[in-house]
Amino acid sequence: MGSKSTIVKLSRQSASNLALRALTLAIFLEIPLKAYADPGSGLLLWQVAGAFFVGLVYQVRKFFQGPKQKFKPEEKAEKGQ
Amino acid sequence: MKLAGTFRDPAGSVSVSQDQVTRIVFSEGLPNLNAYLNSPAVRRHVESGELVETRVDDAAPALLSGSVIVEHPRIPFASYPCEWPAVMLHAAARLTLELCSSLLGECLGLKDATPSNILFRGPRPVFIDILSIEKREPLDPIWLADAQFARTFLIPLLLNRRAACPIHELFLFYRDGIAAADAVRRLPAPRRWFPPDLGLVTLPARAASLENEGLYRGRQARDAGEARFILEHRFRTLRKKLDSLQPSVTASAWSGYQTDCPSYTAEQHTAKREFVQRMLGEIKPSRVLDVGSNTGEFSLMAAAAGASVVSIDTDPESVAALWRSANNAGADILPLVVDFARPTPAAGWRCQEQDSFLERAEGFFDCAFFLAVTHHLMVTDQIPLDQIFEVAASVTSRWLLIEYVGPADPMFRRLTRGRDSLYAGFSRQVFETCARSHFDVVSSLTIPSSDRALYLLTRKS
Repeated sequence: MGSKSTIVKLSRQSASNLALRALTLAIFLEIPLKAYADPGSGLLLWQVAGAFFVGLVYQVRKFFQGPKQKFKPEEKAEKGQ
Repeated sequence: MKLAGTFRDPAGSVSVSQDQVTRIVFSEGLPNLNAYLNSPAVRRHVESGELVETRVDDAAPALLSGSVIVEHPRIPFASYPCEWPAVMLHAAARLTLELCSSLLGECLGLKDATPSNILFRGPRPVFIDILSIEKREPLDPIWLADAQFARTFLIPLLLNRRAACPIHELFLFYRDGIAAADAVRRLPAPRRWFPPDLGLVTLPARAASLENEGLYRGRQARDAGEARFILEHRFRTLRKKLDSLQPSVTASAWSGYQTDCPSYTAEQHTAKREFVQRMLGEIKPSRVLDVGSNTGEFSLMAAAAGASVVSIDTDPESVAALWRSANNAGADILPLVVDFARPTPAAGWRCQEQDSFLERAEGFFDCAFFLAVTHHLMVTDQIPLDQIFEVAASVTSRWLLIEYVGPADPMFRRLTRGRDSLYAGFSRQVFETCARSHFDVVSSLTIPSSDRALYLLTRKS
């Protein structure tokens, strides 16, 4: 159990670190004034970054749900006995 | 030369006739059309009236090999975002997101997300562009239309809320919405650093400088479950943002006019209501245009009498209030922000992609209401009375219910701002003479103790 909580802690820490870095970067970046700038690129970038973090949440959930489901039928069987 | 049909979508083209919309679906659009026709989610939305009905016309000869012709019923009166108050844009955005969420389970999605995909049947939004619905790559976790949804729905709603930018004015000049970089300058300085402004406008505007060629390369999740989880989360987030941008009910100079009614005493107002009610009972119109509808007292009366009503007013708050009333009551009223003195112009490629308001209205209605509006057109907008009757005769095929407001009326005098001499020759007799160039008088009523009168006119054949 100790190793699982460490993984969650680490993934939370790295996610919040990355988010903080992205935020700091975005605050200090200037608003570009380019003739051929795509009006949607900033929003797409934002969506891609969000998708990365949400995907991470999905993988972490999946990681913990796998063993849970493995043990579930056994628990039921034990109760039945 | 008039354009034969729409041309922007390579998957198909649409042409509109009197009461039918015909769509040619080219071979590249056929897989998506089949997925659309076989989708249970699509059927549910069609049954609830949120998606336009579609019928494959097997009998029609295909103009191009491999193409298919489908037909849709025509939405009675087309309207555009440059005629909608914020609440209607919000309702259109909500429908777009609802479709995205319910299609996701069937591995379908929207390839674009723009208000142009939506028309209003009465006060209810209807999604009309069926070729926007496409089969989705199961591992793709990105919704490419997300930025377009932000530009054309969320950012205009945000600007409307924060900077009181009227939606109809924004869309008159920015048909494809507002980019984050353009919007950020219009937001108040401290507010732009807090959600939802921060994630919707401020950070994406800055992140645009990180743009590179790899940004638009296809991305894949590890499995289909992850892609769906990411997209479900995305649509929930967008829904929350949209909810936070719900347009608030605000008062305007005109939104309280109906309840305060400064131009009429209770007795005068009753006389006017009774006359309109009696005339509606006699003529039983099927399609009414209410010009200067305000919050829709007479539009609601016409709808209750069985008419399909299009109501126009210059004040977005009054139009929004009428939309809320019609939507709650299920009344067949389409309220639009249109200035009759400066009606919506034609727009788009060759000015033919979007008809002007007068082109759409011409001959469409069998009755028009011009109640307490001619003095505004005459005095504020300086439109000659004979021209007002000429245009009125073009929008109604039969009846005109019009109110005369004379120079002795306090509101008329307020509008002239001391230029009373300009209208010294104007009288009820002049009004009737002008009316008779296009109409015959059927009935009239002098509103007691006032310089106002109501007329029911019928158009000369």
